[in-house]
Amino acid sequence: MNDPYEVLGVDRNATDDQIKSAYRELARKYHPDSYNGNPLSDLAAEKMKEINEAYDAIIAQRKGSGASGSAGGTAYNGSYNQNSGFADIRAIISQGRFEDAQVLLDGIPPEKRNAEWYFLNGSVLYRRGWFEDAYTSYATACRMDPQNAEYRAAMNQMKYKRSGQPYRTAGGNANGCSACDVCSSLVCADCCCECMGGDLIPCC
Amino acid sequence: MCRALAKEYGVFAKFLLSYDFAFLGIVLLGTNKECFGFCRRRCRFNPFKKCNMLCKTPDELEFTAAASVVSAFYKLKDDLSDGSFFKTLPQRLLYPFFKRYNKKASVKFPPLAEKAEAFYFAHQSVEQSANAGIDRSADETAKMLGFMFAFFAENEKEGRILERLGYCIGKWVYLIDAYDDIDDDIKTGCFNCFINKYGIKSPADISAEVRGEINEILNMCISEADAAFELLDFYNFGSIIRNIICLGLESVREQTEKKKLEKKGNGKLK
Repeated sequence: MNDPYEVLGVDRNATDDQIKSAYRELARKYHPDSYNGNPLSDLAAEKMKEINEAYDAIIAQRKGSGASGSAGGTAYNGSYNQNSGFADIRAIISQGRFEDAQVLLDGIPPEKRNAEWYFLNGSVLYRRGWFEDAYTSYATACRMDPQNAEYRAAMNQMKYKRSGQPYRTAGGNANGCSACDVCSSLVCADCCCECMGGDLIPCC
Repeated sequence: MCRALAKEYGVFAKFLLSYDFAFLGIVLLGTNKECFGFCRRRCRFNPFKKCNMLCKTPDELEFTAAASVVSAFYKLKDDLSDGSFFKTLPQRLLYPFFKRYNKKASVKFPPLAEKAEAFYFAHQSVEQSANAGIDRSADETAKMLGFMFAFFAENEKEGRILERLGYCIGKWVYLIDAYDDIDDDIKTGCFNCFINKYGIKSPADISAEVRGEINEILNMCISEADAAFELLDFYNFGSIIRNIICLGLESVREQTEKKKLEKKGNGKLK
């Protein structure tokens, strides 16, 4: 495993509260709910696992125990609804075969397209990056079956992303900041500005 | 990047320098483990002042320069196919130079040239289909950017993240251009996905509701780009890339909207 302090982006001398706060912030960022339906959700889950393990390792070290505890218990259960009328398509989506799933969905005749079809169609479109059509499809699914929590959750998540809140509230520096990173970023920004006739750092 | 353009394609190619491709260069360099050395040299367009620049031209910047000239070539080709002979006279004069640039870039990065050619034809077919929706219209540009972002990916995981990041940024770039061009496209009758979607016939049809919906569509692209960005550890420029995604794009959108509202204030929109 990588250095757990590096994973959490904290100094080795950080207090327990600082570690807890860094852990909470990262857990919020990479939580499975934030990547639900995203084609990169498996990578987010991997990152989440790494963060949980790093946190457990630090806590174990500080308590003087060498053994690491269980990792937060936030394992994401990505399994789908068991009562599905489109179990085969759901299985294909979960394997990441979005284009195959789209072909199968398109092959369902219009009269058989129920709320679940629209939800699955929205899920595939979202993964392919067709956000607008996905939004319309999720909205139709919710209209046809307003009580379904799965469809509503997908719709609400998309509304949240469309509001711009996720990237506006994220803030902070995601990757930590080495001295080299600070200097190279500033010099690079200065180069870009100078190329375009401006100047970010007047002294150089 | 400016120097990479001049080195490979001659001094006039420097005019192809743009923020879009500078951003691509930064992202590509960001995933390179090396810490780049900077040096101070003079630029012939600003000879009285020494500028900071990379001492060597890494492969990533050579690729970015190639991507700039290839994109410019196909943009020019597209313009030529759209306009009348006299209207496109300047483009016709430039065409032989751009064709030579494109040939040179194709030799250096054959997959880029193949992809760009396929993109050009796919893009043309989308613009010719009268009822292409927003997603269909932006898909080709987004895929092209996804390909460019992932070109130097070291493994499958990095490739997937960069491709998604590029896709979302590419989509945003296409859509903000379409938003910015609505007024011109109404006059010229050129294809515009927002005109299609909202049935816009005059600038007055761009209501607050339509603007709000367009903003939501653009926000969605940034949110998804940010989600992809968070999954990758950039070795260089991580904070600057983050700022561009979360603050820079938003600022461009605000400027575009401000421009539209100012026009409205001047009576051009009612």
